[in-house]
Amino acid sequence: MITESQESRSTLSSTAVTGAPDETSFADVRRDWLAIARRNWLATAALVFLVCLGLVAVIPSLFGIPDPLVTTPREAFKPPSRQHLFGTDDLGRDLFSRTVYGARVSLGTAVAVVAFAAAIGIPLGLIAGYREGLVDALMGRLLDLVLAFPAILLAMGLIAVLGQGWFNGAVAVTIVSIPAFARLTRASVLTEKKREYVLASRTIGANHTRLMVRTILPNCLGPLIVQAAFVATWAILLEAALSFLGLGVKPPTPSWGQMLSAGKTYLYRAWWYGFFPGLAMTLVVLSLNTLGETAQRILVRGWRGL
Amino acid sequence: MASYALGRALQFVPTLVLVSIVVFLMVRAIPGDAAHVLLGPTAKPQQIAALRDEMGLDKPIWEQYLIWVKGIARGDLGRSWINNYPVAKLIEQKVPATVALAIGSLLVALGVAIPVGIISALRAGSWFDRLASLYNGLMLAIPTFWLGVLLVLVVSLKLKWLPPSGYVPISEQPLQSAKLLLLPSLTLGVYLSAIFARFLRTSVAETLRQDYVRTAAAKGLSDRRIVGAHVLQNAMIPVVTMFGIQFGGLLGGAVIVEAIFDWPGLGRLLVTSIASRDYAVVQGTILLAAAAFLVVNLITDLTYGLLDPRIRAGH
Repeated sequence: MITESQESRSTLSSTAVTGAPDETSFADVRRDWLAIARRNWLATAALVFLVCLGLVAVIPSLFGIPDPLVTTPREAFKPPSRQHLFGTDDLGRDLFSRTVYGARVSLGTAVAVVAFAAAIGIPLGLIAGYREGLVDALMGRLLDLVLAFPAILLAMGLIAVLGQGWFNGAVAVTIVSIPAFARLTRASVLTEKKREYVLASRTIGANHTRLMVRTILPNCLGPLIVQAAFVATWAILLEAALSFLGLGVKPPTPSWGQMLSAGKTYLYRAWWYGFFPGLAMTLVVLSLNTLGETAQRILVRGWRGL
Repeated sequence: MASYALGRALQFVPTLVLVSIVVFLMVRAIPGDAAHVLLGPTAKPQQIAALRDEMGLDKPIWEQYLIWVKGIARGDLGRSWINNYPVAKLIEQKVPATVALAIGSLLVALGVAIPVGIISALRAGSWFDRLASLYNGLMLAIPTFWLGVLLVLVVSLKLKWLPPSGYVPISEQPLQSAKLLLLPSLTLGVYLSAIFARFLRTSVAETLRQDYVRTAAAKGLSDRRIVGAHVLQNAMIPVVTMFGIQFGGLLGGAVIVEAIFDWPGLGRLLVTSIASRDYAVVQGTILLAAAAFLVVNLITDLTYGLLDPRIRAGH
């Protein structure tokens, strides 16, 4: 749900691990992977689901998914059947293939937003945490400014300026996601840079760039990976919300938010119109949340504690 | 306390100023100049020049900003680009519906979260706790707009218990108004209830581990007394901050819920004015929402200080 925003933006930094994390790596438990997968069957199912959905979404033709744009007015508003698994919409388009193609928009947005928000937010946080002082204060103000707006309202304002469409929507969602990475990175850097290995590195003459990028950053990555899962979730929800409001992806490109919005219009005639895209989105979000929580557990208890 | 409050209030002012600058610049950043957009592509250069003069677009940007801020201080948010109606009036008409929705959702959220959060913390690991955790996980994952549509489908169309959409002011027909408010409040409220319940559970569980709770038990107080007098009072403190943080979520969620239920509030106003490129209204609505968000956060922080003597003393 979309209001995840506020929580993930401002309090998720508190999900950063406190205390000494377990250092067992995957290599230590590789031989027992089947047992681990079985013990964590929910996370395994989530991972399998997302990988499958991703595969089908990237190359739908390989799986014999029909064209989502072909309209057959005679076939309009057909309920789910063997021929049309999820039924058809107002123009007789196959809703199963539209739901599959809709995953492209959602998963694509998630990947793009996480990649760009991380690419901007992590360096910002790294520099702010490493330098402290004025740079840190300025950066803090800037992030506070983004957080001063309820996320979806800021995204809507940005779209009002940039114009409607998938790209501008993704830009808006990226901008409101930057603080999630920047703040968490900053917090981790502040802790890490006081550790002895950093001092050791400095003593042997490492310069600032090397200290930041090669010495400190790798040790901050754990919590950031967990954060990425949660940012992906809320990017999907925010994008779908924008499309639902008619401010995101433009028709006829299939997107879940826009299908839900159309489904709401035809609710009296065709319950299946908005039902399946909504179900798909809920499953994706549940899967991402489950994986995020599992990653968090690995971070705190190590692979052996899984 | 006074110095804490003063410090916090001093933090609030620059943020508010920065927010107003961003909202102001937002409209200046639209492609093409405001006079062009307003008059359309067929406008003559003289008309555009006259309007630019009237709107003060030729003045330096900082002067335009100061004029705008002075207007806001007088309660003047400018006029709609579409129908020339005062923006402040437009917003004023929409506020009651959004406030009703916000109150309804909070009632649902707290009504569910307080018992669920407390009981699942007190009976950690029980079937109730597991069920509550399932509820929380599910409610956090279901998109509001899907939940809203499902509720309309089941409650209104299949069971015919409640009307699917519409709004009546509470002063006109209280009963009908409450009926119409129920589904939107439920849609927005259950999500918040999951967040609050999760948070309250952690907070209560943490308080239960405190020394003073053990002392109270050692003194021989009944469980009821311990929970009522010692645990809840302290566990509620962080929940107040959570409320401040989630207020933004409440505003954002309202935008979506209003779209589902044709609820004539600020969210609908914002969506329609973005669609019709009525930038004066967009500007006014976002500014108001951001200011409300900042004020609520200021108030919750101050309340937090009042509730927790450690913060008052500056620890």
